[in-house]
Amino acid sequence: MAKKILSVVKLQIPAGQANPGPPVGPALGQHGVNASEFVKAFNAQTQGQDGITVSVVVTIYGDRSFSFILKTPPASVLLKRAAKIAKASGNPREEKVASVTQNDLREIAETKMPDLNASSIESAMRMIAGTARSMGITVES
Amino acid sequence: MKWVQVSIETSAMAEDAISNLLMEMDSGGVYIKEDKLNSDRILVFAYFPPDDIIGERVSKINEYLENMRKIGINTGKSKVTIKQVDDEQWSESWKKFFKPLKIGKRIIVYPSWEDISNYQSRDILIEIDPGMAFGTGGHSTTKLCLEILEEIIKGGEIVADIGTGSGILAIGAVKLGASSVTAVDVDEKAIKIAKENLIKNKTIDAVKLLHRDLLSCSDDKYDIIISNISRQASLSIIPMAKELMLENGKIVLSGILRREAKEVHKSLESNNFNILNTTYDKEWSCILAGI
Repeated sequence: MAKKILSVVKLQIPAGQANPGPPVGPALGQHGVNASEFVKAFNAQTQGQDGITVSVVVTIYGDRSFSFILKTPPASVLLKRAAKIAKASGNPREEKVASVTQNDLREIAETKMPDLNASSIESAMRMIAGTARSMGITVES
Repeated sequence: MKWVQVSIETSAMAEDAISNLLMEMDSGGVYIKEDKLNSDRILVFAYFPPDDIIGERVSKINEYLENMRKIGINTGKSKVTIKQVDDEQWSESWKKFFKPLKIGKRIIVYPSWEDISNYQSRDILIEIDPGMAFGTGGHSTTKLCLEILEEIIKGGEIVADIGTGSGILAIGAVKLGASSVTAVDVDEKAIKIAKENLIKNKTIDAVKLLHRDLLSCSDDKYDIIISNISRQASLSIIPMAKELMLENGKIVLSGILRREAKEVHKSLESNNFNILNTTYDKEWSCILAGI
């Protein structure tokens, strides 16, 4: 049943641990969606991967009902995992905190490819490399 | 409770790094808004308690953006804005979008927080809370089905509801007088939500809820078969429907666009159904046929 789409909302929130407070509450509430209903469904679907930040896209329909799809994890999460660090650099210009290999970059680009606005794996790798540099993670050549 | 909303206007390239920074500052998550007209213009929102380190947070974000620019990352406009917001603005505000809905002559679909003491005893009251996208009564296709059910259910009918979703049509059928309903859905989440709604509406005893595709492996026969799914689903149900129908049985097909109605009419006629009525609302049509 095709429904009229009112809005699309993108969130990055912890899997299995979302709550109806911000940012979920204001992001969905302003479009007339009951954030508690979303949180219940989201936590149920992401249980078992507790705490990992995930990207989720919520589609809100004209009757204020909604559906959501889980996207690939944010590049920052995959980079931190590959570089084995918990926290990125707050000053990427002067403070480098870790490094990743070209292979890591390619792997992350391949994972992220379905959700990136990239025409080739190389351009996806360039985008991921940009995120890595912004986080103080150097890319080994 | 009050919150400080920090919004950062940036680029697609910087989106993940900025979001990560905000998460590492314990924002508990971020909300990302893309500009429909310019896919490279991104707004990232995060919320913090209005404590005395909010100024420090904002300076840290600004420094970070500057450092990103200095290493050659396109950070877009890099505009940081702060605004105080109250959680009352969203925690209850969504409810104002949902009002009791009158459908047909006496059906009222209402959300659980609504006071229903003013309705009369002859009204058919269906309690459905808005939530996942499974039919809250506001959609034309659901409304058209309920209107037809109100016309054709006289009492004691055996009904099949294919693609039950929120269970709204099954609940409606029982409340209108059907003696039993078999409701099926391929979506496990829908079955769970339908069950909750059936319990809330005290109709669970009259409904057999099954997680399955159409009416496969069923030997039962029905007075009324409802399918509020799509043209495609209607076309696949029609050829097998007769086998499942009792004498004088009727079929209600919905989820069909106006422009698709002719094709469904044709399929019904070639399978020896009589088209009894077709109703329309906005771009949707709902077809009632008999044998």
